[in-house]
Amino acid sequence: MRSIISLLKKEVKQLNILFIVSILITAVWEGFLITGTENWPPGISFGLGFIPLFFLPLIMIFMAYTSYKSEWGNNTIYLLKILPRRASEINLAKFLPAFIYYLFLSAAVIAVNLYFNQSLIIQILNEAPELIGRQLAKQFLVLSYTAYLIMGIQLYLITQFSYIIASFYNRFRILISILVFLLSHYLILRLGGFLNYLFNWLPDFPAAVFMESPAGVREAAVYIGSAPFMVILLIMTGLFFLNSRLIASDVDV
Amino acid sequence: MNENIIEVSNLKKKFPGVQALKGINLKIPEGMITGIVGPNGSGKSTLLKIIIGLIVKDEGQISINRKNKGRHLMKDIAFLPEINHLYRWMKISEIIKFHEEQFTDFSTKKADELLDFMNLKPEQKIKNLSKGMVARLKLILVLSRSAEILILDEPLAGIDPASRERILESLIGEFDSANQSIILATHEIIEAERFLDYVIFMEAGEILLADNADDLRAAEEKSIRELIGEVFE
Repeated sequence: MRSIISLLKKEVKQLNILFIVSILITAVWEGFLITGTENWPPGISFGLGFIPLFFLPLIMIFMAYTSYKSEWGNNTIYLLKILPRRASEINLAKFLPAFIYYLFLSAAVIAVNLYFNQSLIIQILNEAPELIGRQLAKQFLVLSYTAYLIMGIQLYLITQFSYIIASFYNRFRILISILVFLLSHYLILRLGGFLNYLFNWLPDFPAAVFMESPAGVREAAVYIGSAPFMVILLIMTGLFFLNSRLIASDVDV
Repeated sequence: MNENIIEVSNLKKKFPGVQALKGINLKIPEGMITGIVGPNGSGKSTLLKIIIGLIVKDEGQISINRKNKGRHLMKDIAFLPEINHLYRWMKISEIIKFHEEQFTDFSTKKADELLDFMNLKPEQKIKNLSKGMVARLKLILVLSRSAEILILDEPLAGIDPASRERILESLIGEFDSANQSIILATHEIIEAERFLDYVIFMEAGEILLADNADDLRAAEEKSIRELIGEVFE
């Protein structure tokens, strides 16, 4: 455990400049929207407050692409490969700081925006029947944030995989990385579709929806399948171990 | 008679356009300082990297300590690569702490003593060290472990004479022949030859000669250095 924590600390120190700079830029941006936009039309600053969420996946791609590139470039891959650690442990130590950063910064951006725009949110909710508005808002927030987190993990692991595959070749590495990146998304989609059938037996999540008709608003239940979540979890776990395996034995230094 | 710490049979490795190892058969005795000598490009580094698992072999068998090779053996092997493989943003004290946390057989006390001996200071940043200082630091990190096998790839390459002397002194001073074996790949034989117990001559991916250094000296009535000159002519 001590050795894993030591690897984690090393990764965090390697990434600290990126972490600090991106957190500072985000903080300055959110601070500006909170304090400097009183005269702007309502809703503009609320919308703009979510802009960092578009950049975070790009930072995840950058972190994934450079996670082993910098190790190869500086020859420190030798040090990692001679450690008495499993490749999955080394890979986990690279993935965890990136994911925790992604999780906390995105959660902080959402929380700050919701907190400082409460009056606007209350106004919006008041315009819809109370139950509908609150319930829909909660479901929307939970589902979209879960999808956002899954997207971050997926982008990280696919980018890492693309870089490792490209490193097998001596030329056109960036082009190969891009091709593998695009192709991987397609293959995961197809594989996911196939695997989905195998997990149809899993229980579904019930969710409430509200339907408007001339007779009024009525509540109905729909069921969201849990199979896609299980499938994406399986594929990502498999990809994580595949990346670790490729780093451990198939890529020469 | 020493047992063999490493046995290699029919080891082959091909890189694009070059057959780096051409079916190597080799037995490295336990408890000795073994020197693998040969010119640049003879396959010494490739052989060592395959032994410790940094490079995947094409064919052949490797047995280390009478076990088949596996990643768990990294616990028993301390490896010093030819290049600077240390994180340049770390201070010496940080890389020592990192090694102490990663290797259960690493002794910080021993590392501190060796730092003093090698004239290095814990607060120095690795990026500010000269090539000779980095070489000394790499050796400290290897010698501070009580691993059964020390594998050193060109530990003297590009190092000034004063640093070479210190490196070799430390190596011999810290070597525990009852519990350790050293395998040293070098093409700089002048300083190293007096310390070698067993010598392996390599050229173009093949073993030309492998024997006890004393036997070779006695049989040929020449120093290893002179013998190398003849073997590689």
